[in-house]
Amino acid sequence: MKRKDIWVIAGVVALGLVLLVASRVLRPAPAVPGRPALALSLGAAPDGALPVADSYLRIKQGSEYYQLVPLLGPGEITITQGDWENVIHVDRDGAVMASANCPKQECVHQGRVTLQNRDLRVFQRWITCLPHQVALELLSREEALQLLGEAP
Amino acid sequence: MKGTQRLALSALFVSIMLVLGYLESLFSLGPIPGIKLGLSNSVLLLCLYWLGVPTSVLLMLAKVFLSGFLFGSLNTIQYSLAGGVVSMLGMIAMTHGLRGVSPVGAGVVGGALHNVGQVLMAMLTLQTASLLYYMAVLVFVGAVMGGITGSVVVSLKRFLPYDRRQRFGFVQNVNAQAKGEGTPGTTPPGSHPGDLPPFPEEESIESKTH
Repeated sequence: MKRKDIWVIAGVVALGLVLLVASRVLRPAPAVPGRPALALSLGAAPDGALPVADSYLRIKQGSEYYQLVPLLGPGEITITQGDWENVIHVDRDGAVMASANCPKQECVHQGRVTLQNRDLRVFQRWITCLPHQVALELLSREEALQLLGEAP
Repeated sequence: MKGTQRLALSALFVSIMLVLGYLESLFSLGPIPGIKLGLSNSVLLLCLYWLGVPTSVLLMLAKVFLSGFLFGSLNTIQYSLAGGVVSMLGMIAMTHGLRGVSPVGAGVVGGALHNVGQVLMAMLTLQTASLLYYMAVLVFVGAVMGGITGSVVVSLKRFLPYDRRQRFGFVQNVNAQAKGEGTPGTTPPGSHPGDLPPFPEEESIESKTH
């Protein structure tokens, strides 16, 4: 290894550290009006105030967000886009991508996200299925209210 | 003859990259999705030293599209292309732009930037910045893997033609006659068993008149 290699490696490490800092600083985008809730097994989210729950699941499909899904108990959410299908299992504590018919199933291998582990996961609060462009984000109640501009 | 030699080498390198890429896709290196050893990058780095920038870019594109059509999908091509382009730009800068960077340093940059390109494409697709933490992790992992692949190239550089070794500073002493046989990296062209004759200079007109 040569001397310039040390500088190159230092530059790469610096890039990684900058990205780490940026990931802590940048906040999630505010909610935008989108499609109605998908949570058929949990019941459709009512209009008006956000249902009381400890955590909420925000589902993004492509560039659009669905209404927040309050995690009130065990349930299943199926997202179908033509031949693509993603099945999400939720419970009061969190969510997991139970199955998907994407080629590599990497979204399934990302594991379960809960309020307790979301700061420790590599994907943080997200579960993403890139081929199907589906992304799940787990929010606490405070974050959900902040997103909707409502008082806690 | 020399054009045919270049073509044969290019085909060989693309084949090797396809096989290595397929083998890597069969197993994962850890619980974090997207981590691969990147052995194809070591071949690409060797190509940069051996065949130059234009040919290496073409080989990268060939590898991306062929592996996508054979083993993946249009989505695979999208992310592979993003990673390949960003990685290639970094490795070109390290090998042909900056002087004094070894294959290890070039490999580190290539490995890290490959992951940056792929995650950037994912962020553009999902239109979110929330994958930055994942990108940061992959930068570190990619740098380590790139260092390993760069070390592979260090051990393979002895197979480069003498003029290519000389151009990139892999020859320890330019006056090879003074060193004699047996000294690594100093034997003149043609004296080492298996040495390929040097390729003509890509942009030199004067060499054709000699």
